[in-house]
Amino acid sequence: MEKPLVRYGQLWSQEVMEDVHVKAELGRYRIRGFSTLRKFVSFDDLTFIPCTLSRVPLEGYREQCTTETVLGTRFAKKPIVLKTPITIAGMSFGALSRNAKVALGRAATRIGTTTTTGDGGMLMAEREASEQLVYQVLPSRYGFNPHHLRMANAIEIVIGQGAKPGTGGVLLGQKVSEEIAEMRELPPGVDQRSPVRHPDWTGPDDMVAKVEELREATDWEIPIYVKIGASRVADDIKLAVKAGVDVIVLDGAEGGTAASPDILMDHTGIPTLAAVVEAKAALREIGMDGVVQLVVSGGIRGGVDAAKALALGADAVSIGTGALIALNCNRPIYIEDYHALGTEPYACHHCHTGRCPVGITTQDPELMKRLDIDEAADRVTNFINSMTMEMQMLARACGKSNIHDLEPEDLRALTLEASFISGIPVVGTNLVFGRPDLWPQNQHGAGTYVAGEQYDGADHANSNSKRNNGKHEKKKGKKHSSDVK
Amino acid sequence: MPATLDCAKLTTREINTTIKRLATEGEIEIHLVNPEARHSLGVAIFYQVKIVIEGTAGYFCGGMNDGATFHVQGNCGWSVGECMLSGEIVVERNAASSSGASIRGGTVVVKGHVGARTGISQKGGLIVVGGNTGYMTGFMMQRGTMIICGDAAEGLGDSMYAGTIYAGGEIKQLGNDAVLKEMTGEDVHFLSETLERYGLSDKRKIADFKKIGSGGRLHNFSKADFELWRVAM
Repeated sequence: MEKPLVRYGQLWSQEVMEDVHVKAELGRYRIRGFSTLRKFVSFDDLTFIPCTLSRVPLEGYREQCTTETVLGTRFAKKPIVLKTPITIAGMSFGALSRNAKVALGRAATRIGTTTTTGDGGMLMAEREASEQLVYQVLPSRYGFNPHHLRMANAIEIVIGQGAKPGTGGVLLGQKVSEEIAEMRELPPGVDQRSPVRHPDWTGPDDMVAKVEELREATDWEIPIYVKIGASRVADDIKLAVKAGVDVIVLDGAEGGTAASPDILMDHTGIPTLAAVVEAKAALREIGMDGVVQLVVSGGIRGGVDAAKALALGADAVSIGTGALIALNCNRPIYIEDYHALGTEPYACHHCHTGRCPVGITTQDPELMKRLDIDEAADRVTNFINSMTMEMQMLARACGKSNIHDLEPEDLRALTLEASFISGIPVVGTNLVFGRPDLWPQNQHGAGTYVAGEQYDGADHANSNSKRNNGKHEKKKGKKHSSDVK
Repeated sequence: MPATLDCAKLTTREINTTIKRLATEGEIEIHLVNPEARHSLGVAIFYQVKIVIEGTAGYFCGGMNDGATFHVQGNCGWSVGECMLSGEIVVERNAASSSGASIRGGTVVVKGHVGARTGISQKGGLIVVGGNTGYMTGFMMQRGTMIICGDAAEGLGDSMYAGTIYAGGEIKQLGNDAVLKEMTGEDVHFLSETLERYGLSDKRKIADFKKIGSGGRLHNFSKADFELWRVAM
């Protein structure tokens, strides 16, 4: 008898079949929280090239490396001054529990950075906990209050999110508690589907007027950010600048959400690595690089990602999912409750259910108690402090006494794909593929050596030696330790 | 004698700063002359002051208002009174799209016609329209009340969560899950009193008004209601 054939297909995989089975029951698309489960081209595809002989590093464990970051210098009378280029992203009270929002606020205050409100308005406990709070103006205007606007340290007009650009948020009925419903002026228990278009303006020309209105409402004192889900990045950046904002928050496809159709998370948007490069090029093209600050978010997992984002041109990064994980998201505690949701620690993306085992994305008072505010704030503080130290470590190794002096020249691409997207030379070749126009130092077209290291017939060591002996080409606004010592 | 500001000689910043200064100094009535459809006139005014705009205002007139009374003698651009908390805005002529967008309280009265998406995401308060409304009026309404004396274009009350719309003229098409509800004596009394207060009693007989509310079928997803939900989710 022939041996039975058991083979699993790649087209109709177990995962695909399970997806069909679920939708055959649900009668709609699937909704879940967290972020994309796919692996896009990412910061992992870049590596730093620290100082050796050709450049002099700073003492990694001793020398100063400044991390102060200023956002909103274009028009606002009171720009935001941060002690680190890492901010906490907008997440709503409703998606998150009260304890989680307050813990994030306390952590941000201890760190010297900002946290951000979300859909549903300003939670007073969050305002009290946060020395610097960014107030989101969202399409839904749930809980929007002009008095709260004037209590904010900055405004963030939300055009979209990286997890679901072009579509509004979702808060399923199980999370629309009496308190949340009252804040959002909705019937309790409804499946709240937030709009994506603002109710009072449409398109970039209207946005000019909207920005002016918000400036008037706040006496031109505080910065105005705009948050954009990465899509048509270059055009969006230019239109946002034209609209008169101070800061652009660009959220890549890896960005998180408490609830979204999963197809949007996995099949829409531009990955963060590509987005930051395109945004920087657009700002440079219109002469606004350094005038309008660029904050990048979406899958920033630690100081390494953050440092690479800064090297590619971001002025700061913003973290959401990373901050929640520091709070305790996916930690292996209360394991039986993960199992009750049909999941397990490190694989949980059930924020949308409101049954968060660790008390973060829930409105259940009993679950919420599991998140001790002070302990949670400590963990977020420690995590962001560790990120800052990681960034400083990399910056010093690259010879930078200011974290903002990290630059594309400090990076090399590990893959052709990353090189093609970023304009960063591939390791071992110093060749630029695809977009040599992205950086000023790459002026010799695709497949050529980068500027300053252009092949001149001599061997590579000689080329480096010549550069070392001669004048290293300085990039505008960037300083190397050998330049300042 | 009310204070008068000549908009032709002032920037928007100067106009709004002066309104706030005069209001804090106890001025109770301020007239803006030569407004020339300027945007953002009188935004985020948190004082009980009367502001008379002698002409036409642009976008966001009286936006984010909390307590002030506006009387616009001409037309208004988009989003008059958007996100208002309290107070009153009366527009003598017409207003553009998104009038009273997302108001949480107070009253917006437009004696003429209004554009599309009037009262979009309305969260409270009262919107009164003497003329016709554009399409998707009352879209995603959450709370509050709207009165339309004239005709309503397509999509009236689409995806309303709650709230009440009274429509006196022809309703071209009700929006998704907007349903007709029974008029009560209380409704009749409210309509009669409100229209009289704003001098709109002659616009429409009370008996012509229909009451519209949410059918509640879009509150929670049901696969059995696929035809309804296919455009709502």
